[in-house]
Amino acid sequence: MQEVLVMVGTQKGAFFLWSDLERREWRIEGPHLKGWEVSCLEVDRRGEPTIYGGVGHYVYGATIQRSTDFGASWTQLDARPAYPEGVDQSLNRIWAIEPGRPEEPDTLYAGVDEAGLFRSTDLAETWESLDGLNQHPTRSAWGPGAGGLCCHTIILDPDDANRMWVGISAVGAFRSDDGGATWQLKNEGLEIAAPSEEFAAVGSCVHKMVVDPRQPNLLYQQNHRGVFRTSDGGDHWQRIEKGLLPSQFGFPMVMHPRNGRSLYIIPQESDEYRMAVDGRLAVYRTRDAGDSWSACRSGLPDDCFQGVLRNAMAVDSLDPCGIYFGTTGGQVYFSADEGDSWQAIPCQLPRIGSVTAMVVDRS
Amino acid sequence: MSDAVAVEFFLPSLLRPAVGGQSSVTVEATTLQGCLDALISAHPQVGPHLFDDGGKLRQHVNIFWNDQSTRWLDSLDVAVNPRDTITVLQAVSGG
Repeated sequence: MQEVLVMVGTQKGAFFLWSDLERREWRIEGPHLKGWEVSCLEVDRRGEPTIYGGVGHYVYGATIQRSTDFGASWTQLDARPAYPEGVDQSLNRIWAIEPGRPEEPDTLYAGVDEAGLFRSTDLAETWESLDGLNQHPTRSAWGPGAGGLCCHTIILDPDDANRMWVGISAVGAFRSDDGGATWQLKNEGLEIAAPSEEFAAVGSCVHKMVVDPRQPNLLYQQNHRGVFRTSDGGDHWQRIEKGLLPSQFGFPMVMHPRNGRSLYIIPQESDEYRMAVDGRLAVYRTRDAGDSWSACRSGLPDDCFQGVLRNAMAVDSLDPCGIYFGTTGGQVYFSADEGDSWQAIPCQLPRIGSVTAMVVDRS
Repeated sequence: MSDAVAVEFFLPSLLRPAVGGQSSVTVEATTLQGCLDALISAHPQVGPHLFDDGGKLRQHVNIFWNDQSTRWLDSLDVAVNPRDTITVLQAVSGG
């Protein structure tokens, strides 16, 4: 039987929201990892589905937890993507866990705070620091944003095994063309929100970045200072929202699973407020790669003074696709019709940091 | 050198999964440092929760040896006694 699973990571644990494919009724499991902040949840589907969670606590630090039974049990992994001894950088939070390409089934990547990228080639038994990024020549100019100094987005080029991108808040977008050995800052065309005296190109605040897997030179990003597109793999970025949105500011961005010109974002009122503009919670959708945007808010509230964080929005693989997001106030909303209409899932969860959606066959 | 003695660790609920779900763990050692080493040797997953990447006790973690905070001690190389207890507590940091 196929079901929709929406994995919600919160400040106090993970909640698994299950539904039929029509999403008529929801069943809530959790809290899993009760009391721990779950900053990201990722499923590795290259073999038997395995869920990895970036888990932490302000007292007890960050680790990775793994579940092979859809959350019924969890194992804390011995190895952490931690900086080597002698490096004056610490592991504060795990922001992203990305399975490697299908042809490298034992490879995982982890993006962390303090900003860095780590790779495991043995399914998280050990981790190596990718020092081409982690000790980048511009590192001295990297500084944290409100969410910390976080490497939150990892994108692998599906066509080119040597190419990948990462996004680091308040620093910028980086690309590697040699399998992660060396990295180039790719901020041309982006606004610099956190200027550095030392390196003029550092300081663009990438909030979320996505790629069209069918056309991997086409990427988009929700930035602190607007929404941008590149058609050359990040060499040049172009603003695509000017005058078309109620606010340039926002965090999450997701792509339609079969249409790389269709994106969803949630504009929010400036970095001073970080909540729905005028309380009118709205998802904005483009179907033409950002040339035009329309508000999708049928069913969303007019009096919502909550925000939506960068990892807290997801799409499933259904046709029409489902879209899901969670708010800083602990509410989860979904659309089963590609954004045309929305409903709240009846739950009041802790502050939501991540949302991941998938179709699961447990027959 | 004195013989090792049994000392009981008490752990907060959030850390119990890292020691197999138990609320307390008994170790045998001669010194307070030896007790901590024995705990982490037997349950390596608890180590990163108590100590940061540099090996320092995490800022908001307190470890009490009977009624003394380890932060008050000049050294953890002090002899432990039978029936001593070691309690891990989350520091009260506000709110």
